Amino acid sequence: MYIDFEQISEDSDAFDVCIIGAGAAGISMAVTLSERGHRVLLCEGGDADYSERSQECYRGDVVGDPYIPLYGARLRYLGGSTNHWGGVCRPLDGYDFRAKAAASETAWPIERGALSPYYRTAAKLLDLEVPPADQTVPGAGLKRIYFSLGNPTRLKDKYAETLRESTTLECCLTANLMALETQNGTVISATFQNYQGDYRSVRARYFVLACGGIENSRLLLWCNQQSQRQLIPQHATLGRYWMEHPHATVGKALLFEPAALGMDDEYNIFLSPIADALESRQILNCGLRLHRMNAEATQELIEELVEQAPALAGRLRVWQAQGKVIHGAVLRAAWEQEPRFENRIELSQELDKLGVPRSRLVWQQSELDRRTIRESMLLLGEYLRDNEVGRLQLADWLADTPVQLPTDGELAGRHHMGGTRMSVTPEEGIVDRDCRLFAQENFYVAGSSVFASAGHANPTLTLVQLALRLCDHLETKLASII
Amino acid sequence: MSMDPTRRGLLRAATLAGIGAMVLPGTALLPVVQASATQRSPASAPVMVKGWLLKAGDR
Ligand SMILES: Cc1cc2nc3c(=O)[nH]c(=O)nc-3n(C[C@H](O)[C@H](O)[C@H](O)COP(=O)(O)OP(=O)(O)OC[C@H]3O[C@@H](n4cnc5c(N)ncnc54)[C@H](O)[C@@H]3O)c2cc1C
Repeated sequence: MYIDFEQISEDSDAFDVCIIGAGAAGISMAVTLSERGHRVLLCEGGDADYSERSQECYRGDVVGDPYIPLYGARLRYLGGSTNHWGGVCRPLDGYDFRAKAAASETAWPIERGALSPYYRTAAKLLDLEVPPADQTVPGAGLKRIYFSLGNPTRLKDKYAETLRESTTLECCLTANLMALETQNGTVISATFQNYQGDYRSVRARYFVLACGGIENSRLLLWCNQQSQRQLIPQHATLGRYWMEHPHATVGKALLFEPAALGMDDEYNIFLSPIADALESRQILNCGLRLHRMNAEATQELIEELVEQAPALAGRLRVWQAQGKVIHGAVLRAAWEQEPRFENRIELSQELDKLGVPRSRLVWQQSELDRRTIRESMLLLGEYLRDNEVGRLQLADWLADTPVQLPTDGELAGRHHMGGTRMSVTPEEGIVDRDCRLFAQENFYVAGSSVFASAGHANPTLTLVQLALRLCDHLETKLASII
Repeated sequence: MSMDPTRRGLLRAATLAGIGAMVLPGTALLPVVQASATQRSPASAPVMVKGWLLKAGDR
């Protein structure tokens, strides 16, 4: 049920879990834990719908490579960025959790098997259809992959009734996290402020920070500063290893044998390098998206190709006369970014209206990031060419070396990952395998900020799997108290 | 960089291909031949013309 800000209980034993932030991670956890009978307080900083007074807290600076303004790269109200997400989902590959040959920092402290038990529940929660299994493309070093591509679920609508009616879940809007008080390795209270400048302090057995892939870092940096580093004494990696999925239109292909890739039947197909190819080419993961062209655009592409490859003209004419189906395709890609200490969220000098320093994103693509997309395209292009499946053309910016990344177009997926990295030791990251702050026995982080590496798949399914796993962990902890 | 502050502007951001540009990136990729010389046989060395990956015989 909804409660007003003034109604938030300050009693010491009112809540089992206080969840801060009501986006994909926060709502998933609040609904799951309250359905299991735990007393949950869900504190959302925004309003029930979009409001400028809340959204303005998301303004911030970007330093480095071109990036989407932080203000427009996410939404700050009930439901979070699931109010405008695309619903495109796929789990990470098993090898995404391991050290990759090109960058050993990609290793997570857990295997994909730790998340697999939560796949179906997470898919149900997000209303995803479970897609077919990946298929290796023989002789290509590539596999055909699948995404869930249904209508994007708006979590605040899907769970409107639970948020309104549940007797074990209290949801408070306009409750903005301002500070965390810690004593002997336990967070004893979280302080919230509304837009009228009123404050409430909440006590709970467990706290979960679920404010998104930029705010989790920003808020912990701020709370840590205020607590004189009592919250996160080993803070060297706080805000660091921040990652995105660079996105771009990367070229075109003409497929003489579209059936070899399944494009005879489908308009959109997805490919990614297999693990061996990542190793032999010394690259990170990459998702290539082939969108079939219409007949007119295909004909134009045939003419473009023939200009550069006149010896193909005769064969193409014969094939066309025989009625052989040839498809042109536009290629788009989303690729894994190297986890780098240098890419980070930090606090700026400027404060938002609530008095919290704004975020500054320092973000740059590395040589490995550029290499990943170029080599992935060469892998596909060589397969098409050497097996007479087709020919591929790299976009101008990829064809020329050094690669000059596009300065406009998609740029990135608005997938904010890292900053509170999961790791084995507090020297290497901020949360442990259970998503718990190393120095606090009752404080957890939910969301893609805990990702140690990003693969190429959109992050929300994985972060909901992690959130559900955290629910099980908290359930065990709560059971041991009773 | 100025941004449309309305909700419609933000929702539109979800569907538009992209928004703005600010700085040109600096670092470079290894030239392809150098980067992959150890992995590939000379027979499959790419012939690239205007971005097209071709066989020598295509010309
Ligand atoms: C345009 C767009 C399209 C996308 N498309 C896809 C897609 O197709 N597939 C995919 O997997 N992912 C997609 N994403 C990413 C996806 O939206 C995020 O991965 C997901 O929403 C993250 O969930 P979260 O709960 O961690 O954070 P959020 O959804 O951002 O939720 C965080 C919540 O915390 C609240 N909050 C913030 N600060 C405070 C504070 N100080 N105190 C209290 N509450 C606070 C916010 O108001 C918000 O409700 C897209 C994102 C965008 C922007």
